Amino acid sequence: MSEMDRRGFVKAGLAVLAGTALGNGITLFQARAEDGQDKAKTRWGLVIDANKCGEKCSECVNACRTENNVPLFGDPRYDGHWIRKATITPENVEGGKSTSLPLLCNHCEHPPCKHVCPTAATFVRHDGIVLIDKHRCIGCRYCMVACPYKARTFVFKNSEAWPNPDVPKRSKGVVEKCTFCAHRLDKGQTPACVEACTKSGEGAMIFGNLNDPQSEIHRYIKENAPHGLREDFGLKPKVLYKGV
Amino acid sequence: MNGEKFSGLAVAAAVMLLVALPLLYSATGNGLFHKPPKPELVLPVGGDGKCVEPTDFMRSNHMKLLVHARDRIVRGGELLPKYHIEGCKNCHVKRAEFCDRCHGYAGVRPDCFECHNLP
Amino acid sequence: MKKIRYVALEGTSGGYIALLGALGALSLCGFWAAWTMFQNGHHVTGMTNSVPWGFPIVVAIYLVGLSAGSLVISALSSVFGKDDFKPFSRIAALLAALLLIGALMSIILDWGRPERIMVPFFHMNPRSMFSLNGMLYSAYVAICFVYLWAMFKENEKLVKRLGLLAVFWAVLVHSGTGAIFGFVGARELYHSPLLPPSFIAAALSSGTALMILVLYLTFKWAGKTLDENLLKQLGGHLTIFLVVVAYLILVENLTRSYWPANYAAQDFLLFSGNKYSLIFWVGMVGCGIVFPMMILFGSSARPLARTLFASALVVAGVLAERYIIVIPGQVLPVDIFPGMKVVSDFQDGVIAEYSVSSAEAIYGLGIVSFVFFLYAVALKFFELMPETEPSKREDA
Repeated sequence: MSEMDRRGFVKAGLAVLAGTALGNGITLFQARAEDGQDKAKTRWGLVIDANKCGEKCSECVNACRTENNVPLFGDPRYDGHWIRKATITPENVEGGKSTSLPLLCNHCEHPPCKHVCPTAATFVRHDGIVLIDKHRCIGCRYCMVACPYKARTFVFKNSEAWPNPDVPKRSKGVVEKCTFCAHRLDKGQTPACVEACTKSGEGAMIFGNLNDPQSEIHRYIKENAPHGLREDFGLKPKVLYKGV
Repeated sequence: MNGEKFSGLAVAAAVMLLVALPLLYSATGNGLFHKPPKPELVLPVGGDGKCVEPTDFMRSNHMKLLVHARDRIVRGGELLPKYHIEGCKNCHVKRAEFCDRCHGYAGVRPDCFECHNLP
Repeated sequence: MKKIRYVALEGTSGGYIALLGALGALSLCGFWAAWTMFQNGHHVTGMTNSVPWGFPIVVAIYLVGLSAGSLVISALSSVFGKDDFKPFSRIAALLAALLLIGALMSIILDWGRPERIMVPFFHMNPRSMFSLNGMLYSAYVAICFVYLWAMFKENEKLVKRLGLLAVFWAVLVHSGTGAIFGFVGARELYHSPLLPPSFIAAALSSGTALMILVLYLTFKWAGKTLDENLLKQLGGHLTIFLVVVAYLILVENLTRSYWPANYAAQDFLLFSGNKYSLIFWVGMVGCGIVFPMMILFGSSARPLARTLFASALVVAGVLAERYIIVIPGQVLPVDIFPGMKVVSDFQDGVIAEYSVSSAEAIYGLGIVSFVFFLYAVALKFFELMPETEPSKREDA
């Protein structure tokens, strides 16, 4: 027992058993991440300009599938969807202009999926991302019923495909959804869909820190006033749309 | 009355035997029954030949480190590359020759590898 | 009042053994279905990403409802002072606990990861209706058993207090179960403050109806005489409950239908002629409310047969009602873009398909069989049945 004395280890074991965080006195890990200070101030957000989103383009969807190993079974009832393309047309006019746009988890400030999760497997990370702790998910699917954006899918069977071996896939029986590519954000990259959208030249997605007045997304919101979907629900989504 | 007493004793004896069997099995496992061979582990290549913690400690506690780091990484959003499960494969290149052999010997079936890719 | 002696069932007749065997076999089939779901994933059920809750949830809330009705009948003598019903109090309390155990099993085995059964004990989210209900349900089972134990001890004072607690707790359990659906704002057909009370009312009607059937069959097969007037009285209670259920369903649907934003949803549920409107009108309204009321009020000839038949209809009708609570609300697509037509790869804006798969049907049947298997076993080992003069039939 080198870095940890015996008593500390017992405590750590108890803490693991009880599912609580370690006490302050235990030095199992280095101090909390160095940049803890501004992390709490970060609020990741995404603006989608539907006017720029190409009807035939689905680069974001493909990039997401490859990056996050989102399962595709060839059966529309069970396919996973973290981000999907939708086409909307007004119902009240004949031949109204249709708009194409991607739909994904809106990472609400008041996420109903988190409120209904019995084991708190769904939680809001320090930077505002709504995540599922798939180690803790029991697969009750209440969150899927409670989500008004249909952003979540259930893993109905195990998938063998593993296009990106550096990122975990899911085993059957848990619920999954968009993570804003939290693993990429932690490495200082942007989400895979945003990267693909920019690379394809569409440039319909702007990703950034909503709380940073210097950021591009902040400036865009000030000038163009995009809005969230179904804002009447009061969930305060952090994915905003322009031209919907 | 006597019959009742007897059947009660019989049930108690049967229950005790059932409880004792696996204990007996493990206590005498070194000779009475089959003794599985110690697993042959292919030791890691790469790195400087040292794990993140001493071998003895890792052997009995790696799962606790992983579970605890898991909660801090996933829920706390911290970066803990030292204890991240994805870091294991930097040195333990073949899961089948290391992790799986010992897990098989100990008779545990962790579900980590259903989602985490340690080739 | 005459003191009632309770006895255990002899339980040696061929009929009893055969009944146990049949129920046990059906339960095993149910567990096999649950195992299949666990091994293969939920694609063996009829559930999809659009309809994530299927028949197991319907069965679960159905059993929760049946449980309350049983408990109220048990409490008729201990809490509400109707001593005539005392012979039933033990059976009813036991059945209340067993039905709730069945409900819990139906929920847990339906999880994607039922092996993580311990997780909710260590991590809970007090805002989640599932979490709260988990606590309410397990406490309810415990209360029922303690209540039963007090009855075995013939401790009248304790029985009365525990009965009161159990009735109060049953109200909590059913409000909570209704809240699972009623509190979900995302789905038009779920979101309703009337669901918790409506749940209690339907629970009372279906539970009473089930008790009438169970009591009749138990006493008949055990070869014991049953005061038929008591069953008829229970039939009278049933009519009152049915009126309340009808009223609440009427109010809920009128409220929704009045507001134009819900026209499409109500049209889908009530007048579209699909299987859901069929189940709504024939199953829930017809079998669950109208026909039994007509039978009970219609004439006074052969009152026992009428009561039994009406009860059977109600027991079936409330299953239809539970189905209507759970499924249509999910089948209707969530309205992400009001006033827009949506097309996507993920069935956005499309009315989803759902049908009960064979695995789910066997699962539901198995859980219900298991409850009655436990009930039949308990009758043999515990002094639950009141001792009466043996009737002519002796085929217990």
